[in-house]
Amino acid sequence: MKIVIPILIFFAAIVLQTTLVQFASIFHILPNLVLTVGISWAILRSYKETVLCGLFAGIMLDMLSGTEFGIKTISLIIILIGVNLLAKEFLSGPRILLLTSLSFAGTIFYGLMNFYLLNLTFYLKLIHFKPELTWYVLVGQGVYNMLLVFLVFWILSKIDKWLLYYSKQVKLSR
Amino acid sequence: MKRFFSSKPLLFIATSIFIMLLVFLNRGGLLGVPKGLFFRIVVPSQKLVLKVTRPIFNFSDAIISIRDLQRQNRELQQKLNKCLTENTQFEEIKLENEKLRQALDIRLKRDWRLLPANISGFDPENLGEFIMIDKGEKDGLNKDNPVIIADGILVGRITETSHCCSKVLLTTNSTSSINALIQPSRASGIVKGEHGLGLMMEMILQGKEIKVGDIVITSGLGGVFPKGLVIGQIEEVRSSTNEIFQTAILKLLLNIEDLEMVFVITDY
Repeated sequence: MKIVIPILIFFAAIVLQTTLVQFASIFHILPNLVLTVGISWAILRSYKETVLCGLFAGIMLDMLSGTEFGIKTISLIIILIGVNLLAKEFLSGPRILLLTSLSFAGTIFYGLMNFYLLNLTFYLKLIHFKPELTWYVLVGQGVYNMLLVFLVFWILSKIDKWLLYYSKQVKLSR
Repeated sequence: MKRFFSSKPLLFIATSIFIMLLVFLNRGGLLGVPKGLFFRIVVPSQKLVLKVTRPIFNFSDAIISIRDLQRQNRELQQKLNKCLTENTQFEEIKLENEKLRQALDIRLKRDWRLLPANISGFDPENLGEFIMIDKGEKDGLNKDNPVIIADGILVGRITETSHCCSKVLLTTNSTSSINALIQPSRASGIVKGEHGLGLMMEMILQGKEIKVGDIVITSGLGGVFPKGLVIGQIEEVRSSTNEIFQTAILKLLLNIEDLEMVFVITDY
């Protein structure tokens, strides 16, 4: 149950990302629901769960996207691990500040890592690499994710509370 | 084992090895079965979500853009009137053309074989890079089959097929490059995608006269796309006397978000 729920959450996020989210584009910028869910989950849950969820979500993203297999998985796992470590061990302060800053920075680094890894696979050598377009997309998405993360975090914190309650009940019944 | 995975660095190393293994398996084409199973679960879920949400978004869009729609309606009415006049002239030319063809015994090119397909999902991260369609190998689709909408407007080409679905690389994808012709001037060039945001036509020779509003079509060179598919319309021309080539920014004649059904050209 402990791992089934996050898997279902990430599966739903991927399905929504490839369908519903496409209708929410503003100036051709889309939010990254999977990344937002991942960042919120990494703030709320343990390191182990963050890695496993990142792995699962990354593999699904790789299967559904057209880029070289593995790029999304590696980028997502590294970003989520970074967010988890920063939120649990290094950063403290108001949660709103933590959420917005990690969401914005996470989006930017995730995008840059994607580009960097694509470059390593020679993918970008074939295309027009336009820094101004890349920054437009990345910063736009960062702002969009920063707004979306509040709603996502609120929903996930409810699920997190329920999961904690459920695991306590299981322990007590033993 | 549990203790092994409870260590953070060890879990990270184990995950990295697992990812590398998946990458190599994928390169060797050994992930076909798990991918196929995954698509069998994902595609119906995507189709269900799109079926439920699309009418809601279409309705809300219609309400929000009612003033725009009125303006568009007026403009379209004017265009329609113009087209009706032109159509009458074209009918005459067509009849004349048919007579001439008969006289010269030239046969028209055979029709394309089209297969309709529904959009089952979009690119997870960038709008305008890829779409998923609900037809795959079982329906006879192959890699590089061109994908169009009903009006003969090019959407893209198939890059990956599985049993039940296929991935379509859109013309706006940064890796897409198509040999193209500007219809009135017959100037040739290469149309490239712009990060899923638009299209750009390059390598147009300086001497060629091109203007805003000209239609760009596929040239048929390269063998992937048949000749005459509409790619876009010129929106801006960038020309400088000290450059060998001109560049044109193209307007897409389709809205990717609104796509519901496409046609795959299986034979041409």
